[in-house]
Amino acid sequence: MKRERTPGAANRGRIYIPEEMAGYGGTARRQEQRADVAMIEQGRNRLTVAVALFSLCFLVLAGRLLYLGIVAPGNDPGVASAAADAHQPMHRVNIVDRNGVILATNLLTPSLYADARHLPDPENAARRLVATLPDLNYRTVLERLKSGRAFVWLKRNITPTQKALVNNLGIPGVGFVDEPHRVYPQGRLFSHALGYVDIDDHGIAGIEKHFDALLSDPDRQAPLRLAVDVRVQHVVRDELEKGIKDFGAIGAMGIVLDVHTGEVVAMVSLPDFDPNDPGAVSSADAHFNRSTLGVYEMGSTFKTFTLAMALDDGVAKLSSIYDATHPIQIGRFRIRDDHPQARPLTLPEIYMYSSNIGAAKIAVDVGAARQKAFLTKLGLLRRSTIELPEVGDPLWPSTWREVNVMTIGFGHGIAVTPIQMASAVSSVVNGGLLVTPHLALQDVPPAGPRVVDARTSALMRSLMRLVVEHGTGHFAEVPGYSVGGKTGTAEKAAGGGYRHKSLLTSFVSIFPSAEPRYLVLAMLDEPKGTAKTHGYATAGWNAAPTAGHIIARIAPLLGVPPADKDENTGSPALLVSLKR
Amino acid sequence: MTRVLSILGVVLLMASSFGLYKLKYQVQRLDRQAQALEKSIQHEKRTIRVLDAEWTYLNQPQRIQDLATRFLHLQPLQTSQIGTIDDIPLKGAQPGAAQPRVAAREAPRPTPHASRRAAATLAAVQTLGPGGDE
Repeated sequence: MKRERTPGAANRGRIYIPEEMAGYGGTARRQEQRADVAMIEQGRNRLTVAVALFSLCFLVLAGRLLYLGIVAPGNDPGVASAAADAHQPMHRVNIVDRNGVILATNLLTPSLYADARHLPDPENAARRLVATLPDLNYRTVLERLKSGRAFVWLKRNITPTQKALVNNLGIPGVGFVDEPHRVYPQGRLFSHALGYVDIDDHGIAGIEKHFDALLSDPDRQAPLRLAVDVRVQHVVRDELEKGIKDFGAIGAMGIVLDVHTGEVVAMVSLPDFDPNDPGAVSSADAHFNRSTLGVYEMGSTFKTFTLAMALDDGVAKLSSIYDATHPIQIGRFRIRDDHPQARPLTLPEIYMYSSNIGAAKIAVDVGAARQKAFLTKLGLLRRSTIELPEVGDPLWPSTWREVNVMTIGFGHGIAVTPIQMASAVSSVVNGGLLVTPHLALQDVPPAGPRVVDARTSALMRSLMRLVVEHGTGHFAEVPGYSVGGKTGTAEKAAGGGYRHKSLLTSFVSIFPSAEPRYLVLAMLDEPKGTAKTHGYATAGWNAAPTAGHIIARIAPLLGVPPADKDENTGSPALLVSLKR
Repeated sequence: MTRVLSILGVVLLMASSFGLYKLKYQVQRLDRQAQALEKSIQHEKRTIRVLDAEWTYLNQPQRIQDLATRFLHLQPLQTSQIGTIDDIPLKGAQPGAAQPRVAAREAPRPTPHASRRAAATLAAVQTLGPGGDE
């Protein structure tokens, strides 16, 4: 419709009817004209409404635009999603040791795949691939290359060097996809403590399994910090390997525990495996964690608890005398001494010479109920709470008869895991507070209730020192450090009896003995007597020196100052830095 | 008046559309830049992870120990080699009362007549510590 507007102010808003139209005809035409005007007026009103509506919409849009552009640039959703994407591919946080050294990390590694639809010469390609990556099987590769499918895996997680080699082959139709892959740069060092993951990065053993949810939490960035120390762990493993070699043992176990906090500074079980390739193991028990899963009759080291219990309950004093002249015959059992003194012995002598007869008699004096209660208090009768899925249940008699009281008094007839043993001894010597062993440096359990009196604890420390100074543990002596300890030699149980020739020797030691900071538990499985040990295979000849070597090397690392540096060596001190 | 307003409107329209296009391309360019940066940051992060892992791998205690046994004439630390700050005598202390322990293992002190060369050798020995003590 054609419209014109008069410029005049009075006529603004009205439709101007041209004069030639107005003077056209009679009344009928006039009426027609009036109807037209009404219609035009109506159309104009409708337009105004429409314009107003559109203007409103555009105003809203403009306002929103202004708001997004100026007021709210901070919470731009685009940035957040980009950041989230950036961390997505790794999706499993690192595990580090107490000093931040990486124990487990995720890396993007190339995986080799093939598009088998357009391969010109599968035989040739397969031959050249197998020549480059020797662990591939020619037949499998050829089968996959001939499958005609758009995507077939050839090899997951190859090294950058292998990728370059395959690239150099220039085979059309093969390519690489970057995939996250769990890598353990320390190799075998932490096999049992760390555990390992499956091909899809789910933890299936060790710490990896226990903390699986935390480690794969997409919101978590901070690494999981463990209490272990790479250097200490290495020393323990190195010395245990030497012990296995020197004494022909079939396995070994070592634990270093902070006696006050229960932090596991080192935990080694041999034989071990490489978590980077957990399937490739030399022996069947390589995956078996001796320190937490294995339950063993620990032997004489248990006398520590028998004496602590007797001293704490006031049943015996240090000067109390027990007659160890004759072996005890009870039922079909005969309890005799390995280092027979054949005379009445005082408490320190019983401990020093590791008298089974004496320990059995002390245990009988304490009684079954108190013995059981004491061992329960030390956490020896229930499963350890350490953060590993591989934890063994202790074994103890359901009916606690007198013969059980006697044998448990010197560490037979009860089987516990080495980690329970280590934490129980720590609790006895640290001043008497129960410690809970733990691997992670988060959610640290507080030092528990009192288990023995501080005085008893001090007595036990000096008794342990006595064993190393004058008793069965003298090969654990370390120049410059006062080491305390207790040997334990147990015959391994098999088929309802004991095998006399296969021993399990252990040495539980503390240093410095007056104010202990760390506990070292070393255990050798089936050590043999050698020419150097004059044919002896008992703990004093193998486990004790192994523990001694460990302490000599880790004490400076752990910042434990030598007690009296000039006394044992006779040479003047030389200056090196030491953190105090 | 209308004409002026119309011309003004057209000019404003052209100016604003020109501005808009310019802004849009600028934003696109910045966006591409940001993406490229983000990508290179990702790449650097991944590289750092790989290097971290490699560094740890190369620093395996067992490897360091093997290398040290092969190439270095060092021996494990003895307890006698550990001292504290109290072991260092005060400057100008009585020579008889607190003989510097570091010097205890060394050759006798040179006489004042000793040559300059001998003094230099002694200084070198003192810096090295118990080097020849094997």
